[in-house]
Amino acid sequence: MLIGNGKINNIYFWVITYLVISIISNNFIAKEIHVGNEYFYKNLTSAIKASKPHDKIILHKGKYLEHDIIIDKQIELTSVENAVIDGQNKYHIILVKADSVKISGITFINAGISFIDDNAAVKLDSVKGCIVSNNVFDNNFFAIYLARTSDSIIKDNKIKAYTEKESYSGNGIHLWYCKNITVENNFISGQRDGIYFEFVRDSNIKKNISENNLRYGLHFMFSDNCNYSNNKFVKNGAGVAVMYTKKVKMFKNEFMNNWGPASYGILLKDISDSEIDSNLFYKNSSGIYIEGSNRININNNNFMENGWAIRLMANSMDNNFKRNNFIGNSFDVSTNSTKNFNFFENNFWSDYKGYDIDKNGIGDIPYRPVKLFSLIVEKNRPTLILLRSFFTEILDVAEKIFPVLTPETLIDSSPSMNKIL
Amino acid sequence: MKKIILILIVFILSGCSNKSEPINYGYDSCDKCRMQIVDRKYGTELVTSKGKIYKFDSIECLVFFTENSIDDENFFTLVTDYLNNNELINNKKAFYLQSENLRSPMGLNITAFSSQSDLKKFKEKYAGKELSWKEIIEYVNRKWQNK
Repeated sequence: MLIGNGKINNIYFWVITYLVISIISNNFIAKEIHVGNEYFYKNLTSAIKASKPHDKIILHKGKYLEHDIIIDKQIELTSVENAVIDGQNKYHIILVKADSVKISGITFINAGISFIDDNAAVKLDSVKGCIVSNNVFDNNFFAIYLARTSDSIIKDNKIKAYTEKESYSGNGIHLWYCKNITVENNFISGQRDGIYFEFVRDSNIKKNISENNLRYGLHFMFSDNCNYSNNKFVKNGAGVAVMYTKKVKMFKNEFMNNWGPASYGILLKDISDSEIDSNLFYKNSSGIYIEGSNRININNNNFMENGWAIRLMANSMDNNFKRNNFIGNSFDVSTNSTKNFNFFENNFWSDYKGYDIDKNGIGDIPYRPVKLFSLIVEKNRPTLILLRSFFTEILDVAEKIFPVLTPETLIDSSPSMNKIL
Repeated sequence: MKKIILILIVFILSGCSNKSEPINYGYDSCDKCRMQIVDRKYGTELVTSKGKIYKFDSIECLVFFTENSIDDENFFTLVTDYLNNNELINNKKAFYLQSENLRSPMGLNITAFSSQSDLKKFKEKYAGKELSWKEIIEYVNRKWQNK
């Protein structure tokens, strides 16, 4: 009976169409939700509550005193005219608990110090496919914190902090148990560690500038199969540390002015099967400090005007140094033992005083980069006061003629006569 | 005169005794892992019978060092109470919790408390496993046997 009735059929049609359209528009067409003084939503928390997956939340100009914000659905969060979210030095600001969330263009300030919880401005926990880009982080405890996160991108962020005591500051970009993350083109300064990797796999760090951080510009712990390239690490408390890790590739980075009693360009501690290629080490206390590390190829690097270019501890084996330039370092290589199981080949040494009669570009007598005096200093640091004294020159000349105490096998038997380009 | 001698003897004896010294966070570096010691909740220290002091950034570094790099038999070791970061306490007087939610600098996540009740409170909130000093030694050796 009903089927025969044209009017009712018509109503059915409209009801169904309405339902279909409303379902589509709710679930599949992204809405823009505006937040600000002049808009319906005055704060971010209420806007997130009202949002649906795929929506875009736009923060308008202003300061938002909000904290413990939880993003638990796939949304995009952005701002126009630089909206500021303030953690008031007490709280953490945003926690992302959904996949594929994008956060960009926002200024985060004052995420608070906490000793038990790692308070962060933006924290991602157990998610994937997120992008954090183009944000400003100012005076936060931790700025960006990724835990158990994968396949995400941290890009073009500017991170600044001002803490003077290391134990009261967190890290700029902190990754813990993460996989497949790209950290690109960020600027980080004034944090404890600029970038910190702990239990991270298969990730890339490129084109970042990390400077004036209190401890390390970049810090690797137990993080295998990662690359870092084209970064600049300048004036950090203690350079870059790569520790307890395998298969790290370090290309084309610049390590400059990492100066201080425990400062290094790179600190290598218990790492193996890695590459250090085409980097610049300029004016560091120690260019590379190597302890307990094996099978590392250190090729094509420039070591210029460092205190020590290389400090190679005797518990390191099978490391290769080829085609590096050693120019104007106080000590080229120092070690703490007369034993050596590492290889030097075809490097350019500005202190080399040999000759090349057959003009093949390779010096005819071998170069011994370890000075007797550096061995003494390695064992008894205060003797450093005698550097540049006549006494040490006599020592080194005598040792050159009768090598007794310096490692006999630590020798470059084919030193390059010309700077390697 | 007796007093002066007494004072002198006390002075000399005190000069010879093995005392710990506070960890200078942010400046001292760990004698095992070479990292700067920065986390006030986890600094540890070893004092040998001759009074030489080694400092570490975590309980795991201290344990590994005592197990592998010390010939001395009369050393003593100190750990930091998680709830009172300025105080080093004897490792035998502390109670230990191993919890993934309390993260130590070297990743084995062992935390020390000065009392059993503090430990109980943290265990309730953060989960984890209580460890004796002996169990810690076994745990560190097992985890770091290749290091």
